[in-house]
Amino acid sequence: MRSRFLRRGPRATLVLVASTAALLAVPLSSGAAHAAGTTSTYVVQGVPGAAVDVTVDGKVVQSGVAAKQVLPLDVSAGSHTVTFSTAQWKVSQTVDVSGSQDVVLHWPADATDKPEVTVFTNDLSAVAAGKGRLSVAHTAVVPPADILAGGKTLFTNIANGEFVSAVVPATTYNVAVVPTGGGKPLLGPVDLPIKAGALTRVFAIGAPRNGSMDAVVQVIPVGSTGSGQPSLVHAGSAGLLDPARAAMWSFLERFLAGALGWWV
Amino acid sequence: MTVRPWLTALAGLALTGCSVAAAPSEGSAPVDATPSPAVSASPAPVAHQAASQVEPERPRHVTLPSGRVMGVDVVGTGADGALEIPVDIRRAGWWDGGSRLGDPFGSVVLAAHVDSFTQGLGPAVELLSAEVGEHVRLAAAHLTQDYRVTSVRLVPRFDLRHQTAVFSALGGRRLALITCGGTYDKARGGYQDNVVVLARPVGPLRPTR
Repeated sequence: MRSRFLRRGPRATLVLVASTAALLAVPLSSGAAHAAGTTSTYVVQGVPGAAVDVTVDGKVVQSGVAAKQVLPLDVSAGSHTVTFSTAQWKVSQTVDVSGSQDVVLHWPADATDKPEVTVFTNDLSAVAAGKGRLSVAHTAVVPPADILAGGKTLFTNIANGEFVSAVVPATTYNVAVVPTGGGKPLLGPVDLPIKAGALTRVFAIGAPRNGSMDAVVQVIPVGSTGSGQPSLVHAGSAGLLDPARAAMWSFLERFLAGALGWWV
Repeated sequence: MTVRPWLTALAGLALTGCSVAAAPSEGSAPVDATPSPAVSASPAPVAHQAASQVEPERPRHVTLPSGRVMGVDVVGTGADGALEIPVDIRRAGWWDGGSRLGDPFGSVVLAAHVDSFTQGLGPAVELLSAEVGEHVRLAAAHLTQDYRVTSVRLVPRFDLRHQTAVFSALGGRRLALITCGGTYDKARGGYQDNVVVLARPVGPLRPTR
């Protein structure tokens, strides 16, 4: 039943590479006068085709926000009411703002008449040098999905409103979203660059049914941990593997043991 | 803190004469064309991690092919570029710049002294006679992985740094066990080679018992 639903969708080839590059270029702070953030909360518009008015606590943040746009929210920690509206629908939720979060407007797995809001918490803990953290969020009108990277199954069985993350070497991955249990890709394969020392979040959005499957890609720097690659590993000092020295050691050992035995 | 939006919402509903106002206990108020600044809002759900999420961990024990278990300490690279292996030859060091147990790619790097002047030969000496096909096990606090030895090589110690199979974060999950071996030349800094045992995972990650 699930696969039939998926097969019905047009197999749109998505030019995610271009969109990814474009998104990476979007400055995170669209307003110039953002206070140095005590929190870093972002609104992610994940409803393809909609121009959405975004208000926070009744104040308009931006009108007519297009899909894939990401707005930084300049708000204090604590509870805020975030409202998304178009002529067709209005969705309002409170968000307990703390740390780094993405407040994502998206369709649920089974398309209804109204999108929903899910808050994703960003893990900004440090990663080892030369690596980046990849977090993939399922916010699309598709059943649970797997993520393939370079032909390998990186993540399995992610349902709508869920996410999964891993620390991976910083390089470019050929990524595809496929239905859990197999089938044609729902999205991709596309090239996804992972930056070292950063968290890369990917939100799968839209619906295969109307060819609106797409991805929002956002990058936040995180700290670096761990040491660089050693150039040398000195893993022995006594030369006991050398036959002559081993014999000497064995003699010394016996001598010492004897001496100790005598002493005690 | 959610009281005020509620009150505002109720007031708004009363003004529009909406009959639903009689049932304020409902979770979500109906959406109306009225451009009310604050509709009643429930907390947005916070996303869960998928059940398949793996939490990588640094290894705590390594079981050598003989069954001998060595404790594992976290070690870094010193200012001189050398890995700071535990002085105690009974313990192995896990390089903190390498992969952890549960990371999807790269090499988990462990090194241990083969000997010392004060302790004699250590358990790592068995790596010199390790054979392809033998098994090694890594255990972390919650995750355990079995590996099968795929190669045992003697690498000149100044060439070790170029061994991407040993140190690279790229490529499939693997384990690199390093100790010293080869000719011992005191005048030239001791052992001239490293013994490198590479192993690939066998079976899935499983919970540590």
